Parts: sequence; C-alpha cells; structure tokens
Amino acid sequence: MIGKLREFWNGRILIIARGGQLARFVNEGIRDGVVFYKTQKSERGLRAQVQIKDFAKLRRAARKTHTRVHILSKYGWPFIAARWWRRKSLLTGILVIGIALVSLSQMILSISVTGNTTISSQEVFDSAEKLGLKTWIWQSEVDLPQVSKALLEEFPDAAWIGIDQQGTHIEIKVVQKIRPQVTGEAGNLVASKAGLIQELIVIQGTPLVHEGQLVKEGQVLIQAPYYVQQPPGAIPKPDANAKPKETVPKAAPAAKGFARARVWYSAEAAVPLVEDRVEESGQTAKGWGIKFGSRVIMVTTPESPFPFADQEVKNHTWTLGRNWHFPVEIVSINYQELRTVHIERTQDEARLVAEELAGAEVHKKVSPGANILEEKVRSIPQSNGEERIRVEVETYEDLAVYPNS
Amino acid sequence: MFDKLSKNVGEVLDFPPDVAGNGPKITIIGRQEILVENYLEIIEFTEEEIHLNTTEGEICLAGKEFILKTILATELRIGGYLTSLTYLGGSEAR
Repeated sequence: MIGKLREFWNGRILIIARGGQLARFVNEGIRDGVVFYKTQKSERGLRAQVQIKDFAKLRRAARKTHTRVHILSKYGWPFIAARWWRRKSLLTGILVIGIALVSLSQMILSISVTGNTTISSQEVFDSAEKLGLKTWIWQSEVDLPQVSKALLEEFPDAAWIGIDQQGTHIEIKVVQKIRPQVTGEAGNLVASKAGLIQELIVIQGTPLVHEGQLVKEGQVLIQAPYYVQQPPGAIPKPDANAKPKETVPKAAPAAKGFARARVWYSAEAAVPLVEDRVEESGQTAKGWGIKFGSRVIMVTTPESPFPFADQEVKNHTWTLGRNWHFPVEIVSINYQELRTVHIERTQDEARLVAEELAGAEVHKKVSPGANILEEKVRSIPQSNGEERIRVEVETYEDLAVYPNS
Repeated sequence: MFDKLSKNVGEVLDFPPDVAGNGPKITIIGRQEILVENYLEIIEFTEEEIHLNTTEGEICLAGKEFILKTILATELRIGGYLTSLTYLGGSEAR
C-alpha cells in the first residue's frame, strides 16, 4: 500500500525499448543509477517502468547501445499535477466557487417575517436591522436569541417573537396577541377580559370606568385624548380612513394607563367511574420495506404483529436538488400495540383525576404572569356515574389593552 | 588480497558467508519470487531465462513468465515461475 502510494506520488513512466542489446542497455542504465521496475521482455521489446527523474539518465545508455526508447504511458501525481497546472483558470474557478459557496453559506441571505397580522413586516425588518439582523452579514455576528428578545420588547403587540434559522434563511416568527375585536377604538385601552376593576391608573386619556366597576370584555376603559389626536381643521372623515389602521397609533397619542382587576376563570372536567379506554401498551415493533411508486414491499415484519396497533409510517427519500426524487423509497413502519384498559375508579380517585384535568384546563386560560389570588375546587353532583369537578381561579391582573381595530 | 583476508577473518570469527564474502546471495521464496543480491550484471534475459554474471560465475535461472520487478545496482527482484537454477562455468574465483 505504502509502496503503491509512493509510486503514485513519485510518478512512473512506462517505456518500451527496442534494439539488439537490451541486456546491455539495462546494465548501462543501472550503472547510471536508473532503477527499473516491472521489467519484462516480449517479442516487441523490453517494457519497463522508470521514475521520472531516471528517464533522462536513460539517454546515454540508449545512445551507447543503439536502443530506441518510447514512452508508452505516464502514471502518477506529477503528471496529474501538470495537467491541472495547465488548466489553472479552471482550478481557480473551482476554488473561487468553493470559497464563494462556503462564505455565502456563512451569511444571512434572506429574512422573512411570518405570522404577523397587524404588525407590518417592514416594521419588523427595520427594527431587526437596527438590532443588527439584516441580510449580507455573517451569521456569527448576530445573537439571534438576543435579537428576538429585543424585538419582543419593541413590539408590544407581539406575544412572542421567535427567530428560526434554516441555513442562510432567517424566519422571524411573530405570534400576535389576541385582542378583543372592537372596531373604531384605536388608541383606546379596552378590557381584554371581563373583570372587576380594583385599581385604575390613568397616565394619558380619560377614564370611562371607575374602581369597583364590573367591566365586560372589550369595554373601553381609558379613552385616548381626542383633542390632541385630531386637531381642529384637520379632522379626517371616517369613510376616507379605509386603509387598515395601526393597532397603536404612532402619530396620535394613545391612551395610557393600567386597569388592574380581579378576573375569574373556570373550567369543568368530568371523569366516569367506570371506563374502557384504548391506550398504548408500550410494545412496539419496527419493520422496513421498499416502496416503488405506489407498491410497497415489506422486507421485515410484513404484517403488524399485534391485533390492535397504531402504525406510524415514515418514508425516506433521496432527493437531488429540489425537484428530482429517487424513484425507490425506503419505508419504515413503527407499530405500537394498542390495548383496551378497563378502569374502575372510586369516587375519590375520579374526583382527583377530574380536578387535575380541570386545573390544567383553567391554567391554560389564565393570562401568563397573572397573580393568582384564589383557587376553588367544586364538585358538581351528577347522577350518570361520573364525577364532575369545577375549578375556579381568581386572579389579579392588568386588563387594559389596545384593541384590534 | 583483501578479499582473501576478509574471507579468512570471516571464517575465524564465524561470520555468515553473506557478510564476509562478496558472492551473490540468492533468496528464493516458493517459486514465485527470487531475490538476487550482489550480482554483477545482467547478461541476458527473456521471459523464460535469465542469465546473471556474479563473482561466483554465471547464474542461469530458468522458468516461465519472468518479470524483473525491481532492478537496482546490487539487487535484483524477480517474479515468475522458477523451474531451475544453475551455475555455469566460472570457477576462476576458487
């Protein structure tokens, strides 16, 4: 192996020598320091391999013994290198393309914004650019989690902003806050939920409710200062304002303030005392096969080994580029055994399960970050053999939000 | 003179003959590979026969499909199928 490699590295020339004194030719060559490899005599002459540097030394021996030496073929790295050297421009081209590919793949080439409804994509792009996230910069230069955090602070209407990187593409995923649909209330603060106002702090605008008042969802809490928003003589007609309004008007001052209120949430869950349920037994089996067109030939486990099973089918395709798919696919099927479980619960057990379910459901509704004041669990008597539990949660939170107009 | 001296010294000191003398050392591995060291020159070679000149006289290797794998100044590596090895004449070294 090493010998072969050295042979390749040094380069060999396969020669054929013709003449009457071939043995003497070899002897003379050896005297001049030539090393012959794989020397063989045939009716056409003497074939041998010599190293490149030895080839020139053969000339004296050939002249002395009247031997004609021809090159049959050349083998080895020096010849390949010479060939490539002649194609320098091609080589540089390949190198340039390689460098360009590598460096371009290290950059951010495109940015998209998805999931935004009222926030304009351009605004997100602009803010992102200010935070250092733009196209044609190195990926390592941006701290994406930092940017998403900063973006979230900049857009009060976004509940969550995530930045997803797929190669050179950056996707800014925006999840907007769901606000009560109240038309024509832009700039006003409205109640996001029904609740009992406990504390009302007005920074700007006119309060329309008072502490201790029960408000409905969507009810205006604080009205935007009108006289500033619409100076005399420049009152726009409501019909002319057809284009979608921004959630938070930037030009005109919006109402500002807090409305902390007590809010009640509740959820119910019922759990039967006797139940037949289908669930996974934990037994699994795997099989794989070959798919050609619409035909599937299973190689292992052709049939589900379980009487009842869920099956998860995965196709593994080879794709070339975007559009070409290898016609043969590998299919792997994961069988998961299902079994029917008969459950009998005592009243207490059923209650516990129902309480857990209802609790989980109610906590999904509670706005994140709300102060939970009280949690009540109530059992609702039922006659149909199930336990119904109602969980009530009372929170203290800020209700004032800008509505979607 | 020096040859004779080194040979005698070698005999006294129990040197193996390949170290002491300058005659050829022939290693035959099976029938496929022959290594000849300390030869003087190639007299003639074809696919069936190889004649080598050494200090001990002429060596004749007969066989089939001979190929000289490597030819160095003092070492010859032969591949092929060996049928016989003969020394011809050349007793002047004795």
